[in-house]
Amino acid sequence: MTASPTATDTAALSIRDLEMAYMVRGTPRAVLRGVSFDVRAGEAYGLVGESGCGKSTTAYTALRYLPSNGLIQGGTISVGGREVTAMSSKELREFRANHASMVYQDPVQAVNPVLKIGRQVAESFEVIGHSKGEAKELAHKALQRVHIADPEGVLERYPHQLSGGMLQRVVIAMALASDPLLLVLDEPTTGLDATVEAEVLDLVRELRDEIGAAILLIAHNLGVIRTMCDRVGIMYAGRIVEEGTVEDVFDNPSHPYTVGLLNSIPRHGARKTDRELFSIPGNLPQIGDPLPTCVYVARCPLATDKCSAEVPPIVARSDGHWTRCHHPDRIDEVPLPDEVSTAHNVGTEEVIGVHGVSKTFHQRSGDVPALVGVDLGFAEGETLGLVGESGSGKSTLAKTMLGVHEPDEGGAITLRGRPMATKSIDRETESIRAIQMVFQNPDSALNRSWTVRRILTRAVSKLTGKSGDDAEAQAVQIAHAMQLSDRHLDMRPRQLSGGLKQRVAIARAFAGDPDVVVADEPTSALDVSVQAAILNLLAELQRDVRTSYLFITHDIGVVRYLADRIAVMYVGRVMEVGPTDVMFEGPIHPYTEALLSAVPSVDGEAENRIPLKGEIPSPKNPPPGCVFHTRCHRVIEGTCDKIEPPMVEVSLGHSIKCHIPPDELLEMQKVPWVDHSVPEL
Amino acid sequence: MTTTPENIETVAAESDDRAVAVATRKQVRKEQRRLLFRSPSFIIGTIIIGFWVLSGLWPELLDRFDPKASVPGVSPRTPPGDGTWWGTDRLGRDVYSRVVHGARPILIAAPAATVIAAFFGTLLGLFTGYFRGWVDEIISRILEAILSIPAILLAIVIVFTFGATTPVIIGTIGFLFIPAIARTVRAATLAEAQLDYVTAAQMRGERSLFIIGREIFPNIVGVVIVEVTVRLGYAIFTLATLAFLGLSGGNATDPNWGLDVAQNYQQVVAEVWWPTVFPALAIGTLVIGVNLMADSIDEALKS
Amino acid sequence: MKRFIIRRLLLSVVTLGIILILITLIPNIAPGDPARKIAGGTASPERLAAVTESLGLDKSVIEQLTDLVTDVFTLDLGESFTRPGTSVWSLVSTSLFNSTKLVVFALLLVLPVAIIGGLVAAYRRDTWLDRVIVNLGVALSSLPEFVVGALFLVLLAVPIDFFRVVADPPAGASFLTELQYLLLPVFTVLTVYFGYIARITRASTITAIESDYTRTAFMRGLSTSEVFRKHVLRNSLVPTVAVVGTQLGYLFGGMVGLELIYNYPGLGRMIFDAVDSADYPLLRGGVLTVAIIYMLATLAADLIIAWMNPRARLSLSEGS
Repeated sequence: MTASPTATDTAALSIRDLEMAYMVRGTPRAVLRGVSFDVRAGEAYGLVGESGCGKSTTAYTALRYLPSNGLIQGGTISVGGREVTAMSSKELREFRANHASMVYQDPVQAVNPVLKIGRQVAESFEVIGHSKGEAKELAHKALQRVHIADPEGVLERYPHQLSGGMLQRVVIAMALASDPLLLVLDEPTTGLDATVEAEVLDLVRELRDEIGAAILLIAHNLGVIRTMCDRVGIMYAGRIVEEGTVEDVFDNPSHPYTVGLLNSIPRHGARKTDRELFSIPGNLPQIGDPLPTCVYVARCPLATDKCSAEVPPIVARSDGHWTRCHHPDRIDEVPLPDEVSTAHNVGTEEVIGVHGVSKTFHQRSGDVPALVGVDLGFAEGETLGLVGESGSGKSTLAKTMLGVHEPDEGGAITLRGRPMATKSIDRETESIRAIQMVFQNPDSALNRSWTVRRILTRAVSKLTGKSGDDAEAQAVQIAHAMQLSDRHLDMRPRQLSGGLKQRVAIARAFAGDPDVVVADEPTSALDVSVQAAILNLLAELQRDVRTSYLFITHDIGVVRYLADRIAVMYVGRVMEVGPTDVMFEGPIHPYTEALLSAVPSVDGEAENRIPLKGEIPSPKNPPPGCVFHTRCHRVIEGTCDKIEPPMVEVSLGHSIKCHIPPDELLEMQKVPWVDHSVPEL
Repeated sequence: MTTTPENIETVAAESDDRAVAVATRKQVRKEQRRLLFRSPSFIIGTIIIGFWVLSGLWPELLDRFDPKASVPGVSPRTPPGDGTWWGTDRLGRDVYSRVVHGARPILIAAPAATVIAAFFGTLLGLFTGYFRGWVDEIISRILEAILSIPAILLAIVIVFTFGATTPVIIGTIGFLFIPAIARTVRAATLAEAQLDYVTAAQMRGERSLFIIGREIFPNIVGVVIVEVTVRLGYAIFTLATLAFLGLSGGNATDPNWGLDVAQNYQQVVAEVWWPTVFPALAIGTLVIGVNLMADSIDEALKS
Repeated sequence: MKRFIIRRLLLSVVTLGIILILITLIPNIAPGDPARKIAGGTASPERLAAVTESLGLDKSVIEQLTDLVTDVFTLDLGESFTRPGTSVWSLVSTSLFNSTKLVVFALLLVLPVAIIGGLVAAYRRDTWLDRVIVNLGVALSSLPEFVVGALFLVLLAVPIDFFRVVADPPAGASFLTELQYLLLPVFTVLTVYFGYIARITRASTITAIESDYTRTAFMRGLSTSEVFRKHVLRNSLVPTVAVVGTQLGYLFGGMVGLELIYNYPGLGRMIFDAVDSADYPLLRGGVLTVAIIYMLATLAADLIIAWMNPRARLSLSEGS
């Protein structure tokens, strides 16, 4: 294995030919199969790839944190010139305390739930030799450094009393305690809302120059890598297949795998009416599988006999940009996703209507209004995208529509103009058939002791009234329509991959030929390539049978691709609803503006981040006036905090709940937002 | 419906991959059984329980003398070896034959009581865990109250009041073990009811009985099996202790392990240990056998 | 925290109320004449009448219940039926004192041994040591105490002079002598409880070791012993505390077999004797005492857990 062409002597982190394996029943199963890369001091390096490709394993191996059955089989890891693989356990402790730090995926799990924040932050200073008193003071300063407004208060609190975003700041503060040479960020913003993600990323970006550490960033979100990193390595099956600056790799991808990954996400404002998304055929090789000469040969559209006979060389594309491919010059031959030929048309008749629906949960500690006066309607064949931060009431709305929660008196959910029973158990078969749901997590949504056949047959008989062989025959037909094969029918959910499970869940929702399908983040647990296949399937079903979707998501790119209209929710209220194309031109609600600005773009578009102040208010105590005024960057003092704004129709079908007149809003939004407020310290 | 070539390929490849990596359900069950049958705990447990079940079914096959009559030609309190394997007790009865015959009463009563407790406990746990609300609150309070007094104490009180007959003893232990099983099943049901497949069933308008019986129950069967095996061990424990206290459900002369320990342990100081040790070991090995079996089933289901 | 304690106490009172109802109901719903069963078929009419009265069966169920509630609130449990003139409370308190001695001594031995066993098994997971601890624990748990006690009598008390066949020391014995007499009962408790507590500690310790915050602590450069002391223990001992809380009631009132075999005048034996001699007032007093101990023990355990784990504080004060 040759060294990476970018090798330099000044690298803060230098990994060479790293091979790592898990011992399973006495046999080693290779996970990392010769990983080499360098990160210079002050540089941010991103690792990208599907789950299971070894990116997190690389990061943990760099700090020699291995599971008990993990084994480094070869290669070197050097940080600041010291060889990590050769350290004694005492040296390793000293190295971790002083020279390397890590920020983890889930900050809630990463801190000890039973210890106060202050104790944990101070501990990071105590391990590097500070006295208890000094550590306490330094902990205070450390929290100020990550812009926590009330350090005294936070130090005295327990983890469960802080939000995820706040905890991630604390974790970052702890990671920076030792001024490390190497800072590893392992999916640091996965699971956080886009707005919180943006804040955390801003913080990391700001601290980057100050600390001068080598940063290794692991993320599956290509936008995060693009906006945060200088260079990126594309990983596949335990190897890096392409490396270069983010601009080079994302704008001129030279490995067929990179091209596939980039084509599987909606880019440059693509819509479902233009093109399908590219779904990379096949799967990653399993851990420990014998690898072919080119790791990607089985899934590569350019593969020739040579690819399965010879190990591909490293081919330089430009300075510092290389790919490991036999055919880098044929990269343009990688097929684009199919164009969509059938016209997509949305009907005019309202299929399902939500009229003035509120939902209050009665709890011991008081009433919680989770939905307040929601009005929404769906036309035939229409997709309504529903966005908003977590806790905004998106899922409550879905469950209320489906009759799991009973709405408060006064509102109505109508099917073709006729009100439906509020509880699903009281609904007639026709109403139940008309509206069904696809859940976020198929592991939870499918009964694990039932076979696929039973799951689908039961849904068919319950939703259509068919029974026996008729029901089963239709179940099989639907399974085939979802591209499930006969073999899958007698399997149980845990024998299926994530993508296949989600197909079963979709098939179940479509069992009774529904008018509306509510999809609650149906692809957020899936890799981009599988997500592409699922989104294609949903779009295709809609073209064929003209189902309407309520598509709940936090991914603005996905909603822009799939939705005909978008509704934005905040603290149980719809703040804005309008056609997708109109929404991306403006004027838009200041909240929508902030949401959109928070999305890290994979296309490298200029960013104009609008920071949202503070935390999302609890629906228990919604702010008076406009619920958004406490965080709004365009707040009108004296009005927004007193009077609740009405829903104003800006243009046909586009309404905004805001006091600012639409023309003014449009003018304001033409100029990039400049944050004049003093940063909180 | 049209399908695009990529999609077909994706699905096919995805499935092939999984098919190789993950065994079918049948294979999983087979693998679980294989693990179970190869586990030393299970093997030892089965051998022990097997021996006692054999004694319970056909004691005549294994015994050497009449368990209720003194062995002719052998004096009372003869140590093991001289004409009898395990010696004779204070009345000259063969300890070995008494132990063999003592298996039956406990092997009838313990499973019977466990079955009663398992049936009602599972029902109660399923319904309270699924419906929750005030009925659940009340039932949980009552169960908690019963659990707050050691089962053996309540058993003594109830058996004394109702009379020490075998049906009363079985019914009492069955009743007293309901709370523990109900609590375990309720916790498992609560966790299942949080999952989306239950929501999905509600959304398709399934009746609650169907959801509880057909959707949830199959997923908690493993929990029930393990809990019931553990309870079986405690049922043996409680029965033996009751018998030791004189509440055996039979005559004072009937062979009964707990009773025999009670009637003989005071002679231990006089170094007549065998009439105490062998019935005590019988109880001990049976409990150990059941525990080992419960543990290995638990392990196999977890894997 | 205040809210939590109040809520918790209220729950205990409700449970106690249910126990009072149960105690009242049992003799009333028994088929036939429970007084005759208890007094024996050949008892004289006077004796029968006395038993009936002691059971309260000459009154209505409601009257029985209100009498009992009054007794409990006035802390006057009446007189023993078999030993007229002796208050139930004085008999209960003597037995309670004896049981306390046994339980405290047993816990002082069992807790450290079992907890360390569980921690070692978790730390050396999947090694032979782990397997020995786990399998031994599984095998020995739910063995009746009288079985273990009887075997210890044969194996230890008889051949070795140091061990005593009875647990009750002669009057005026020194503290150390008392300990010596209690040694075998305590060993018995250790045998029966070791596996139970060790296994719970092991399971929760493994959860704590595998959690992300432990990884954070290792990555921060702490040594293994520091990680255990500062991060793992406080999380992993929570379930152990809960289990010890629920088992205290049993240790006080459930060890009838053990107390009989070692001839020790504890609460369990007192209750058994009360049942045996149809001394219903004494029986009620004993059962109530055990229930109250259970209540206090679980309350104490919940308070300790709330102190150890702030999240438990939150969920308990808002109701589960």
